[in-house]
Amino acid sequence: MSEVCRVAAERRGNVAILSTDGYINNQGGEEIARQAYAQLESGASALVLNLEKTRIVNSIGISILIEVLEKVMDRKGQLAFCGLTPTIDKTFRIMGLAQYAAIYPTEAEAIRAVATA
Amino acid sequence: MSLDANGAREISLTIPVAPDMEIVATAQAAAVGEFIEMPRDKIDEVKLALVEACINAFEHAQARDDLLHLIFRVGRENAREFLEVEVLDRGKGFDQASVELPSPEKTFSGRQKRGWGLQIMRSLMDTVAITSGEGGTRILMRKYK
Amino acid sequence: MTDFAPAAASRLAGLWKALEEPLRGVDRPLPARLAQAAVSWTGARRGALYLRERDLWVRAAVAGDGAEELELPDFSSSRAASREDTLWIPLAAEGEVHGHLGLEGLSAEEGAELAPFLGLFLGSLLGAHRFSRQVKEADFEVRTRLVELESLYDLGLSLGGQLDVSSLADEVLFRSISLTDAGKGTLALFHEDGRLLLERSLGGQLLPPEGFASWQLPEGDAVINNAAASVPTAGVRLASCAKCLAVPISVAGRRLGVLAVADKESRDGRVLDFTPADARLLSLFANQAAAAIETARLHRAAIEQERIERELELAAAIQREILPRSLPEVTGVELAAASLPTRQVGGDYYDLFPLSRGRLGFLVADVSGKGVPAALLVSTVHAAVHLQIDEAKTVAELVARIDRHLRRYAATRKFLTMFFGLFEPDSGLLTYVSAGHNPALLLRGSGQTETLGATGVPVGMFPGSSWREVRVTLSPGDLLCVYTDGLTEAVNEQEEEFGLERLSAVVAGGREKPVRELCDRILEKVADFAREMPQYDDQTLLLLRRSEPPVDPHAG
Repeated sequence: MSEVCRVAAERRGNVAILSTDGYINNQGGEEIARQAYAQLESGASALVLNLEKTRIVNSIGISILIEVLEKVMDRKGQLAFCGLTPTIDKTFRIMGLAQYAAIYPTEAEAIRAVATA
Repeated sequence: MSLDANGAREISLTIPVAPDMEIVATAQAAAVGEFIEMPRDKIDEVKLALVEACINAFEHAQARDDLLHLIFRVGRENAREFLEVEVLDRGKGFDQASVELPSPEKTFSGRQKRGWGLQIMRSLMDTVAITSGEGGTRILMRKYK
Repeated sequence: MTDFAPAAASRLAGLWKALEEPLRGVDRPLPARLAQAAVSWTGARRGALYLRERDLWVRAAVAGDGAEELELPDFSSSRAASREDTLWIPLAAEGEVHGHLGLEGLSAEEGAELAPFLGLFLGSLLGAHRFSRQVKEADFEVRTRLVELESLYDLGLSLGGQLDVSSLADEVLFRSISLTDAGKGTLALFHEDGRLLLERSLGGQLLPPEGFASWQLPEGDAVINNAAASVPTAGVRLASCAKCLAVPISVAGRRLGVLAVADKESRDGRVLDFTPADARLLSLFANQAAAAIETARLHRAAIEQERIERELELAAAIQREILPRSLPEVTGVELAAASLPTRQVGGDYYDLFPLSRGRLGFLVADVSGKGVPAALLVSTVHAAVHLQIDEAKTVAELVARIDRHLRRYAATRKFLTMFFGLFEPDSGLLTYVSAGHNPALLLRGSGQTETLGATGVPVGMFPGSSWREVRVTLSPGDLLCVYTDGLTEAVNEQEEEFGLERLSAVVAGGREKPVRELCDRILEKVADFAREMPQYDDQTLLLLRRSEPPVDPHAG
């Protein structure tokens, strides 16, 4: 019965792209965090989180994403989201993620934005 | 076939307090929402709000019988159709007044990462009414089509 | 002591001198030093010293040319005796003879003078020497035992925490091999019926070609086979296992498995034989392992049992919530319904829907499977019916819509049987669909019973299914009985089923009774039939009777 999300990682230079597939709850959030930190450790300075295949998140998952964002900020890196459904976009904004991380409609735009920053 | 005028269009669902059971609830919400042809984005909002209501109950309620009771209703008010969800738990309840509302500043300074559930529910649903006491908590949320 | 003359004193000083240096030195073993000193002090031509090695007298040292020729004669007493010109002196102290000293080239008088003295003096030295050696060996033995016991204790601790049989087996095997300095090992555990549960090997597999079925160990014993070729030993056939040691793993008399190790090696790589001490040690360890394994197994079984019980309880609770709390009041219809969950299962569902124009919809459903998933599927069915009942124009269409709804929204791929009826009390018309459901009973006023069979496959079984609708007309007083197979398949101790005939009989017998009473009576009859036998399926029953028209008080 579990719909917990899978996370795929791709690296292009110093940009790491993590794509999620499924429900981001606390377990999903932790998986994203684990992979994000691994990417940061191996030299990535920018993260793009593509949530195209995710339609449901919960506030605990989001709070873990906030932690990831904080870590990225600590290292003076960049984090951008893309592929958000209108509802997830709205929810992120409610929780203040938009203040510190940029949200883009497509992966290409997100990568472009963090690569040049 | 159509229901008698007195027939309530109510759908009950009881789920165990267990990980990912909130997904069963959202599936039910989707079924009802699609039935009244609510736009997809609005259904998503109902689902996210419902997820928050459920995990709120899971975490705070410590439900005595380990079950969460939901009732889905469709109705009409002033010619506007709505979908309503009632989430009931028989846990220990909480005092709404004492819930410190979260804010982005607080979240980012590391002081409060939880407590977003109520905020999200209120932002995504049109009306939210919460009653909580010794016998449990009842969250009643409604979204118009 | 009165014999102690100054001459003897100077002899003693001389002996002391002769022995001092050898005694202090450690360049040669003590027996060699004693033999040399004795020969040089006594002036004998040559000498030999025999010491006891277990039960044999072994020549431990010689001094002087050709001393190897000196052979210890066979004595039946321990008195010094002269054979030819060799004087044999028993070296004894505290009543025990520790050695024999042979000296050649002494006169009988010299011999008589020297013998008691040398015998006692050297005997004491040898006795002390032997004793100190024994102490050292015993000490070493004790220390080794202590180390072994400590490691057993540590092993016991490390095993005790382990509750996973598989990793426990790995641990046991690994420890067994290192404990006995073996090079390879195999551990096998069996089910109670003798089937193999698991097998682990390190360094090579010690298996008979026929497989584990032929492992037989004599009750409670360890078996050592130090032969170079694999030899069937006392019932253990461990092929490709020469030089091996096998012990049974038993707890409370029950054989859990076998532990075998092979190829014992010394630190410098020589192959050694397994000793009885190894067997003892491994047996002790196997006992500990057995206890740990048994604990792990019981623990896992208990946890599993608990989990199953909990899930069934939850399922039943979920199920209870969804059943109607009361039956609707519909003019022209008498209704009764009940659902008995048995052993906490949740899979049956019934519901009633008052519809427009005085009509009544009703259904009885039986979901396959048990536990929470089945109970949740019932919730989905409930949702489906409540949503779709308004949209569907016919009963057949409703069932098809329910089928599609389940496909779209149900988390699990289960199916269910269902009887859905639409009853119009005014006309007595009953339109029904039976999706693979057991035959419903229609009891006519005449006393005849008809069965209403399936009109299609179960819901959720095949995509794109469709169902046939059937119409029957109920006359006033006719009674419809819809039920789930938990009722007709209820078993008694003789494993007989309650069956459709008995149900028909009970229903027919209650023709005149109010439906409420008849409903209770049916359930009672089933309970009586089954007696105390636990049942494994919910029992659900729905009774519908078309009422007799009310008697017109103004007629006639």
